[in-house]
Amino acid sequence: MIDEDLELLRRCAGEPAPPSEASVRAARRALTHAIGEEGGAARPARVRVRTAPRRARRGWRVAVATAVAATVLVLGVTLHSGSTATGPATAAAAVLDRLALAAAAQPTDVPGPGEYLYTASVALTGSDTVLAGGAYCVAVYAQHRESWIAADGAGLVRETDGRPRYSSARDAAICRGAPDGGGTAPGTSQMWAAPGCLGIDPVPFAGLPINPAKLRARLLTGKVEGGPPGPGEAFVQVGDLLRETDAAPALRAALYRAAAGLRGVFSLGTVTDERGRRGIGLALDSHGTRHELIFAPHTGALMAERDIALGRGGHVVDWTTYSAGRVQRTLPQRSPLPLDPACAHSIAKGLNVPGHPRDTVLVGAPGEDGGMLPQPAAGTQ
Amino acid sequence: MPAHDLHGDSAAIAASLDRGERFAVVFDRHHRAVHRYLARRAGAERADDLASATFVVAFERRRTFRNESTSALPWLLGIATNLLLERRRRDAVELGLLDRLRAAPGAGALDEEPPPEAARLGEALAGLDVPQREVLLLYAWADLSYEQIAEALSVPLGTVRSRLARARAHVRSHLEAVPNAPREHR
Repeated sequence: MIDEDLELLRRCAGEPAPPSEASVRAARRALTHAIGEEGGAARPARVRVRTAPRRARRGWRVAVATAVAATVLVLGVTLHSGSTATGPATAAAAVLDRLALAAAAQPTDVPGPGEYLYTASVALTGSDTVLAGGAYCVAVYAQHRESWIAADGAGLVRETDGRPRYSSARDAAICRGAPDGGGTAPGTSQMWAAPGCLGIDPVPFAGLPINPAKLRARLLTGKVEGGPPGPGEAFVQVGDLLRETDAAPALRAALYRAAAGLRGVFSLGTVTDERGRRGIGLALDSHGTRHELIFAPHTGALMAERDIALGRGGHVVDWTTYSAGRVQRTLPQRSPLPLDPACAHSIAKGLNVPGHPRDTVLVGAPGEDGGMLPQPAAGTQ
Repeated sequence: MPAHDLHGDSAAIAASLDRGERFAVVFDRHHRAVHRYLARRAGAERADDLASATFVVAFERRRTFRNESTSALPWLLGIATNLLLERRRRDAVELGLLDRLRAAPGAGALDEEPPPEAARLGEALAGLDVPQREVLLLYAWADLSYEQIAEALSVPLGTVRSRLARARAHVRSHLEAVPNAPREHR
């Protein structure tokens, strides 16, 4: 059944026991304390909370296709002939070393004050729509994503959805009959973000070692982005740190050399991405999925990635291609609403642009101290 | 999700701008739901602290509540999500959940013994991007609508749809692809 995954999720969640009376009392005391503090007592102590939304590991890349269980929607070809999970690790290590040399030789391209890092990507993305009464439809469509992100986290993300394709006539009928086409109508959405709302760096790059062995150890233990420790996750994180970021050449080189030592990484040789560009492919199989990263041979830049489900002979379940990032001095379009004040992570809110329902301005409330959030009252932590 | 006096949340929060104690109404209405979601995510013990912190943060930031919102719950769950992610980065709360699912019998946040597929579900969740996982779990475990998730996470509606689609595709693909795969030792 189409919703087995959700049913399983709900069954696994169970029904937690309600909070104990003591817990509720403690929480109420903490709130009362906060209310009292605001009434004129001393300000509570504060802790810094990360102000920028966490960037996706794979999520902020444009798109990703969807393959649905009951109606497996094959979006790409089956495993290409060059990819073999038994390829020697030494070949992968040699490839990654060449990429590291290429990456280290590239100029630094970091946006300065008032500048933006521009990236563009194309992919196939999917949309699931559940309507009142339980009707359900799935659509797949091409999506072109562009982002302009400043070093302070301000910027613009523009996504253009193409005409949808449906996995069956039934899906087409349901989606087309739904309000707003079940969310699959072609068009462009724009999201302007105040400072702090976006981020070029998925993690603070300054804190990452450029010694490959130390970096690999950090990746393997899940201490870079969090997540489960292990080579599969570490390989994904290598992509995260390269995708739509301003990672310096030295860090990029270290990432390649760190990836070279991950158990299970293998070379795909020369492969062609979904835009017909030839690159160097590397892959790692984990949890039934092959994650592929494809690099430009002369610059070491990440040019594409895709995931392949290894069951049923293997089929591409999502792919994304990237254009090389570059620094730009201006946004292509100003925000129609004020962006000030700075975005505060927990309370950022989207404001719809009047007359443009797809567009959003992401702003926050004034932070008394630049995005610092209050520490819960003593005794509640 | 329980129906609330839709005007009530906005009215209570607006009133609390001058009289902070009026915010207690929001606590009384939503503490249980926020705690329930956090217990599913992080276990009952951590849910106590996180739910408490959620309302303190919400009170401090109540001026940012959109008074056109129909319920304060998505806003509160957005704050809870951010606190959860922050705590997760600090001490791997999320891993606790995933490990419990992977380990199947063993409960933790779960009152009942998990179904046999729980281990593979845990692996599938572990492989998800954080933003996709947040959307999926707000949808499946907090019963928020697409619009409410968009409000909670401050992302466009289309982003919610695409993240949910991708998350579900990943989970389905994983559940299909490795029905009897040996568990990876970490």
